[in-house]
Amino acid sequence: MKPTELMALLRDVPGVAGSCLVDPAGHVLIRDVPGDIADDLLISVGRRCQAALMAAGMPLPGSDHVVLRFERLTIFAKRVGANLLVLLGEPGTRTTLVRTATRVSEATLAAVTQPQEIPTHPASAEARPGRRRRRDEVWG
Amino acid sequence: MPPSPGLTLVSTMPPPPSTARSFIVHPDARILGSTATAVEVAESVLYIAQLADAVGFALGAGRLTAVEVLGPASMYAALTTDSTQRVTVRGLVDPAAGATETLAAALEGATGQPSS
Repeated sequence: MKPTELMALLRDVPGVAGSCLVDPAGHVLIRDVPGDIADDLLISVGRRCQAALMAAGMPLPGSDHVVLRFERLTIFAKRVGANLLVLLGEPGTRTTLVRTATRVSEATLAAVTQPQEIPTHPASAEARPGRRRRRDEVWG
Repeated sequence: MPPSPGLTLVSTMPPPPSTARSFIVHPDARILGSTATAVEVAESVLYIAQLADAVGFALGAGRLTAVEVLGPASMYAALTTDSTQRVTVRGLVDPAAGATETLAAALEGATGQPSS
């Protein structure tokens, strides 16, 4: 399965609204998030999550996954090789489910080194009201 | 009707790990930890919370309520804000890999001072 297909599938995890893959230099390799979130913001989120993982790794060596839960959003950040996978979800999104889903896609996403486009299909998006509803709940 | 064995497995939270360590960061920044590692984790959570504040603001996500870390060890920290906007951080650290949901549930049931 292609990395872009795996990223799109992550939205099938209950609560997950989207995700992006950021390389060590801070470039967005794959983005599958609502269009109103700018790349600059994703890069900023990625950098801070990377810093959070480094901070967590000092007392807890080998930490590879950090979850930041806010009142209206949950951010999951996971190291996949040299890249960082960032998922955005609803407040109640379950860590165990996200961790399982990302574990499956880890090897494929770790191998991504060049930006890749996730094709957008408005028609198929309309045919999936469940996905649109989850996004709307997160982003208002 | 009694739940099926499958449902029971899903809905029953396992007990907190006996090896878990705990910490509390009081609003005045005083840190109480059951071990030196727990104190170090508490300090890193404070730093992570600072990083997260900017992210939450930029995304319009609201206040940070919890931080979880997973890997060979796992950690769950809950941030609670009182009526005067003072934040208390309470956390559990499990030296073994585990589900943070377990730590969160154990933390909800825990009160008082850090224990090992």
